[in-house]
Amino acid sequence: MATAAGLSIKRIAAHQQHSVPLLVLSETAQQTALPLMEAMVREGLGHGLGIVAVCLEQLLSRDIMCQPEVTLVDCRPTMAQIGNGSAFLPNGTRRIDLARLDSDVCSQIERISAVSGGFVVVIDDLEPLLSISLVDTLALLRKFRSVAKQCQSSRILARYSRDTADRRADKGGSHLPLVPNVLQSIADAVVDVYRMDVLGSWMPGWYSNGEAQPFVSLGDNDERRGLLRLEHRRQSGKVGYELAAFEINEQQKPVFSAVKAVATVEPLSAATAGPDPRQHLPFNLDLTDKQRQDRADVELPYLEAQAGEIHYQMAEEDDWDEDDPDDDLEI
Amino acid sequence: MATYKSLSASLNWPSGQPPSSTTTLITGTLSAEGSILIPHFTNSTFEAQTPVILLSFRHTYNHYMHIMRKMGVHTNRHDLKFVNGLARGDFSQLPQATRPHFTLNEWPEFFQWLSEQPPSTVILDGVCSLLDVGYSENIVMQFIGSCQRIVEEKAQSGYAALVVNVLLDEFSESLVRSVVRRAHFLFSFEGLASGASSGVSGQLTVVPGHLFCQLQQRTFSPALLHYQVSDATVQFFSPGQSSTVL
Repeated sequence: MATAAGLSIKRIAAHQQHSVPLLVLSETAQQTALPLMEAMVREGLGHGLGIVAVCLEQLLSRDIMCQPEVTLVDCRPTMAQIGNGSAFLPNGTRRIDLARLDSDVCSQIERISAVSGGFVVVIDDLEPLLSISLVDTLALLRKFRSVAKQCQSSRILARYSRDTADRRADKGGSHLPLVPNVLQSIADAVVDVYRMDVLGSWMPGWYSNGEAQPFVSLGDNDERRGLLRLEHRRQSGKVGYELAAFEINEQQKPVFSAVKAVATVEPLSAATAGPDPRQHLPFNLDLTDKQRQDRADVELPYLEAQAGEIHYQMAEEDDWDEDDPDDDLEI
Repeated sequence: MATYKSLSASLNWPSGQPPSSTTTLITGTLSAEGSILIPHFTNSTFEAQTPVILLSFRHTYNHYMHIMRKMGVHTNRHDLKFVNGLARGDFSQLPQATRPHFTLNEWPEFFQWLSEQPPSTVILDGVCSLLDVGYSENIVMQFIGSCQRIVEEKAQSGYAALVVNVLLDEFSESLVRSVVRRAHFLFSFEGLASGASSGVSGQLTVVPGHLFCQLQQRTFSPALLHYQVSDATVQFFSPGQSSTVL
């Protein structure tokens, strides 16, 4: 079991692991990855990296946007575009010039690389791009990734929703669950964020009581802590998996800790089982050793007859058939 | 009383209003309507001397006026503008008291009109009706996102917030998941798991939305409450603390 010091996610977040040019964070309605993503951005700022914030729906937190090292590539619809109806296509997807976005981001990367040791491009979030075209979004991510790979500490950081992206993405007519799979295939690391209390459902020995899980429950979207599952594809081809807990500390930076799974693996052990119902009974339900031995020594009267051959005496009216009754089976 | 003091106290919202420049999502079911919060948010906004814009895809202006009058809210004394999203047409022949201030025909026209209004609390009631008439989820999110963008711009010069009320069922679940990602607060109304009760009308779960972590003032804490709807008000209390039990 990994200690906190040995966690890959900790090294990745602290930019000590250099083989992660593209890191994708996935979330659901029940637990957002936004606090973790912003904490990672702050970590990057702390390491002197330049930040390119590609904001498609809303800006990042004010404390990040006001930093001089942060450059905004604003892809949100303007008031004029909303007012004249030019912000959206007839099918409801955003009208975003992907070629212009590509050139804007690349020019910012070039500018930052000349003055800083590295950069982080934050894409918040991928859903508007995926709804325009999955293919074009993947091409864009691949291009940004290849640029980030040339600079050791640089990274592309993107967030998307794994419970709605497939439904809203333009997959060219395909009904397959493509989005999580293709993002996993091009990303160097994928971090799936969960609520803390789902850990019990992953452990062996857990049984459902049959009740449906509520859509909304206390503990949803905890802005301070959560559970994450990391899938890290190394350059050698090895894929590593890791389970960790994260917490956003007072400095708004991420703190990772190993998940103690041992305590939850044996939910039915004597230590965790409820009180023994036989404790306070006025009579004894247990067997003594002599009683167990006597029980084992009892000879069952018809056991030998069941284990032996069956001798059948044919009567006059019986018709003996010498053919094998299984001849008609085509075995 | 239209402002639910017990709810405001549980959420640590002294004014009853969510913070400015936020989006609040209310979900309800057939057995537990979320629209009972509309009078609360409306009256809280009136008490703060801020206008309200109510856009409804479900009911007429008269419906809301009747309810608010019953709860002691005098809409004629405050700045309430009603946008009719229920039916298209010319309603200029209606009496002024029940005539909508704007009818939603072409969406860019509505957005233009909305951006010309002063900073207000914008309440969208029954947005899932757009799914029922055949609009795709992307288009419905386009509408909500545009309203949100306008409210955020307005909040720079005064109090402005967006409240979205959606019926949550198997048809709108995906839409609700998308809206939660754009919301700061989520109010989820549902019936009691144990069935109906004379002293409890349903259960309310209040949790943060995805954008809550971006707020500078985070005094809000999640809550699980039971509530009872009466003629003129709604009482909120901790589970097991209804007046019937006590």
